[in-house]
Amino acid sequence: MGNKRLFGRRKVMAGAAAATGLTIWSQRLSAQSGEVAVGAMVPITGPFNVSGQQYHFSLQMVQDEINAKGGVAGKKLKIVFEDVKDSNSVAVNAYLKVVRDIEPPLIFLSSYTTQNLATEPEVTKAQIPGMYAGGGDAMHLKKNPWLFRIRPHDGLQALALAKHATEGLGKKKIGIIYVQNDFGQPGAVAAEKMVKAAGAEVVGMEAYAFTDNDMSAQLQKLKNAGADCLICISYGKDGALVLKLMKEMGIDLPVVISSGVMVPAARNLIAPDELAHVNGVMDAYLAPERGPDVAAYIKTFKERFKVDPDPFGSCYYDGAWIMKQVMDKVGTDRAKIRDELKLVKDYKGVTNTFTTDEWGNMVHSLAVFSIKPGTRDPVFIRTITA
Amino acid sequence: MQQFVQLVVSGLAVGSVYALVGLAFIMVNEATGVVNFATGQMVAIGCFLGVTTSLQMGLPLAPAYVLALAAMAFFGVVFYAVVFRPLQDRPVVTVIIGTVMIGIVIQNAALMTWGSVPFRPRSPFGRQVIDVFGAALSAHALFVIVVAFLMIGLLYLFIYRTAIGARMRAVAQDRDAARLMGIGVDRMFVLTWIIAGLLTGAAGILVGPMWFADVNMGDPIALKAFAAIIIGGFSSVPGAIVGGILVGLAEMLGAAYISSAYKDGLVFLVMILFLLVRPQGIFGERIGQRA
Repeated sequence: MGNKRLFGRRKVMAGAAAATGLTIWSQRLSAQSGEVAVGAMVPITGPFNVSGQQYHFSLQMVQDEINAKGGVAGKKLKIVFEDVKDSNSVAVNAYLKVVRDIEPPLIFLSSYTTQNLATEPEVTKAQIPGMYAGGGDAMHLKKNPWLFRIRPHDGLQALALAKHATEGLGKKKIGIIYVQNDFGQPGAVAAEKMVKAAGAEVVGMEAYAFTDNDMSAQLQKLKNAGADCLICISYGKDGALVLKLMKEMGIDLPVVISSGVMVPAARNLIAPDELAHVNGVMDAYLAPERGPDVAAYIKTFKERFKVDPDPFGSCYYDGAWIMKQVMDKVGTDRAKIRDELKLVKDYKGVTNTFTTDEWGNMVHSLAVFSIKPGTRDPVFIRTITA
Repeated sequence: MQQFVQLVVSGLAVGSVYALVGLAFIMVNEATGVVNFATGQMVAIGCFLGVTTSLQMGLPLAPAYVLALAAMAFFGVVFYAVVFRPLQDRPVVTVIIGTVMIGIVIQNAALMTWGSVPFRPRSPFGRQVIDVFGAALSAHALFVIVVAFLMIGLLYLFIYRTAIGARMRAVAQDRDAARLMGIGVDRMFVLTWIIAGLLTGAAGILVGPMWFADVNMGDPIALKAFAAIIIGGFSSVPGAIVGGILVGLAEMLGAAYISSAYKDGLVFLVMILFLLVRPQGIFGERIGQRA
């Protein structure tokens, strides 16, 4: 009886461990000869997975496309994915594991700034070029010569939000609501400066935690402060909640909102009438009418993964093609790849045009959209450039 | 005044949910001596079962809710059989680690089943807003308050006014003595986990239309509910209710009148003060009083 119960417990523990991916001995990653293995630090599980999934899909797709066109530097491309979840320490360990096991010529870093900030000292030690999509300005301010950002930085987004609220919509009393973390807080401060520089007034700044699910108090305060327009710096779900709550509370103000809410997955959470007064920025104008390459990308992505691609993940698709171009030219020497990435100029990808600046930023413009009345469809208004 | 009414209703709705989840914590802890750290994930599963029955299967809301709650009751039985029963004779810390681990398993299983993209569950009242003295109140928020208090009332009657409730209380007070008195202790454990499944399932179904459904939604709810039962009293049903409402109101009013940036800090500061000054909470009893 005792043995039977012990066996039962073991089975339970082993099953649970397997299901959670907890393994006592972590298997070494491997790359075979004839392959160029690069690393990818992707939030595959956990709360960051909403954008991580798009990142994962984009790199899976580009790996196959690159290999169909001869691979990189004459060899087959293998992208080794490591799950960084939502933890900085997991991200650092994943990075070290990839460096140790496959000694890659390049690594795609996380799409989240907090994880990249934690990993950045290891990048300096490893001296391996890295491409990343986290928007936080703190990353490029480090001026790490090994790091290259493949989407617009948050300072640029704050500029676009403030510029559109003041110059675009002509509003004079701006309320700012933001997620309280290293994405929202610096963005809100930057937007405040830019609103003031445009001659408008910031009537209130209200924060909420990333895990908050009710922002009614903050919205009510901004309304009472006399705001004639709100700037919302949020991710997808929380931004959708802000718009839902505004409708419920009868707060009928125009909102200029950050890019997380404008991706298809977030827009689908919001009813069309809740989007009626919404303008938003997006990293890129990812629509078939931009040209046959973009149209083909969107079609292939949707056919393969059954979801629309979003600009957050798609920038890694562009990053991988830039990597191929560079490695085809200079091979897999890390320093040569870094030097070549610094010289990228006017590379036209599906998301944007890429030109590397002195900070390692490769993208320098954002698109502003309104919403077609009665729908969730974005309507392109203009591009804002740094 | 309108703002105050709006905030109070929002606070009560959120607080009612915390109270339900707090009761799930208390039921399990009282009966089994275990703090179930997978409670938050059970809330998320309840919400997603509601998504499956109402959105994916397309059932009308009433049968969809009943089916989802029945599934949560079954989930409670499975939790008992797979997690608690095999570990129940182990040290408490082992069981607690087991609940943490199973919480991670549930979360990742939910991610694989429903994906990472949030859903927007339907409410029986749609997006209806009711005007009360000029304050725009969400009909669903009022519905949450009514249903949560109805459930809490029924649970109270069940525990304190029925023979089965008396047996459950007997098991909670002294498991061995209850067994010697002929009470089916294991059956009471199963019943406790079923009730925990129903409470968390109801909480998940109720919050879904307010906050959207995503696989990570349970953790912050469980954390606040945990703070609520520490404030109200870890072993007290009225304590969970009062604690939940206090936390909900503190969040809303604190964000509006003190600082939105520190509203969570405010809640946890109150919790820490209670731990220091009155560790048994508002209604909790001292260990010596339990006998």
